[in-house]
Amino acid sequence: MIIKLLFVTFFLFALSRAVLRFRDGNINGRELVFLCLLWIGASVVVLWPQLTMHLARVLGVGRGSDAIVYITVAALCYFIFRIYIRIRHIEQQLTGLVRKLALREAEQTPSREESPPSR
Amino acid sequence: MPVGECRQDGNPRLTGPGVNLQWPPMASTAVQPLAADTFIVVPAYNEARVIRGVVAGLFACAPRVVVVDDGSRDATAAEARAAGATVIQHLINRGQGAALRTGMDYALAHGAQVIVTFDSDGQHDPADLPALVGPVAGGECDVTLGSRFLGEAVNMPWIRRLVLRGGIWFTRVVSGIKVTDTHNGLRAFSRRAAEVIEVHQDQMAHASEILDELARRGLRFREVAVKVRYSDYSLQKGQRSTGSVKIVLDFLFHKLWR
Repeated sequence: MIIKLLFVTFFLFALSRAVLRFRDGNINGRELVFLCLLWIGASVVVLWPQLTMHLARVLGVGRGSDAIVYITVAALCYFIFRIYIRIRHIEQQLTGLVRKLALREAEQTPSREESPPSR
Repeated sequence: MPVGECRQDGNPRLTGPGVNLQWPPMASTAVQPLAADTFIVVPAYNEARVIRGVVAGLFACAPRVVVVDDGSRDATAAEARAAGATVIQHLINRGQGAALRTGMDYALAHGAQVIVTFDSDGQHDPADLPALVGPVAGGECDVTLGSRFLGEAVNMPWIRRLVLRGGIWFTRVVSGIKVTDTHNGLRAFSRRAAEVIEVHQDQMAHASEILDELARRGLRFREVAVKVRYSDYSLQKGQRSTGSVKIVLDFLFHKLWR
């Protein structure tokens, strides 16, 4: 089936990117192992979908593909939440940095506040 | 200008290209000038057309005016400096809440006893300052909040009135305090209040956060009638009513994961 070919090709491409990122030093070994398991696991599920039947039976879901979709959605929600928290943290750090620079610069430039403007 | 006397011709002349926001002459003949340890903090983002007039209007009564230029791409900082204000510049835009906190930190570091926050778009009236500062300077309360519903809201669109009513209800339910106006940029803080109030909301939700902090820290506050005048400029420049959805989400998210 062509859909299997497309998916597996994409997963292998994603896998190759993960290896390249590891070589660049952008991700560490633990992240590489996680990504390898993720993409290889996804390829296995696409090639032999009947394997997911066992998972579906254990979880009490009707079809294997449904079980995969439910788990994926839950995992995506969790990752989005983590990214949201991370971004908010970075934004607050950025604000702190901008504030510190602004206050430091204000102390260094001679201000007119000590002598109110003459009009 | 002699000490102990407020300039009577000190109305902000908010005239720029296509902008006419002039406040009518101050009604009172003897406006008490504010003490030297009262700082006016004005957060400003791309307000070059009006900031000079706003600062000039403030200097009629206030000796210390601090404009926080929140990463403007126009001449806001230069205009504010030309008007005589102390200017603090954020290198990049971080939002009104962030700019307010920066201005408050600066004022605290320079010995402020009372800190007033004042919007930069010319919608507030400097003539309201003495009534706003008085109770805080006199130690009667820690914070005063300007209320346009106790005072006067000139040319307020009905949709804005509706959204603000929603804000009042929201504040009562979520923060448990009863106010007649929320998200009014005109407030006065005692030094102690300014030191303890945390402003983590960089964007517009800081106004809800400040009210929440008042309740959480048990600060004594009072509302003071003020005038807010909506002009074409301030409406075009200011918040959209749909922004209230983002404010509610930002505020609730932070409250949940503090």
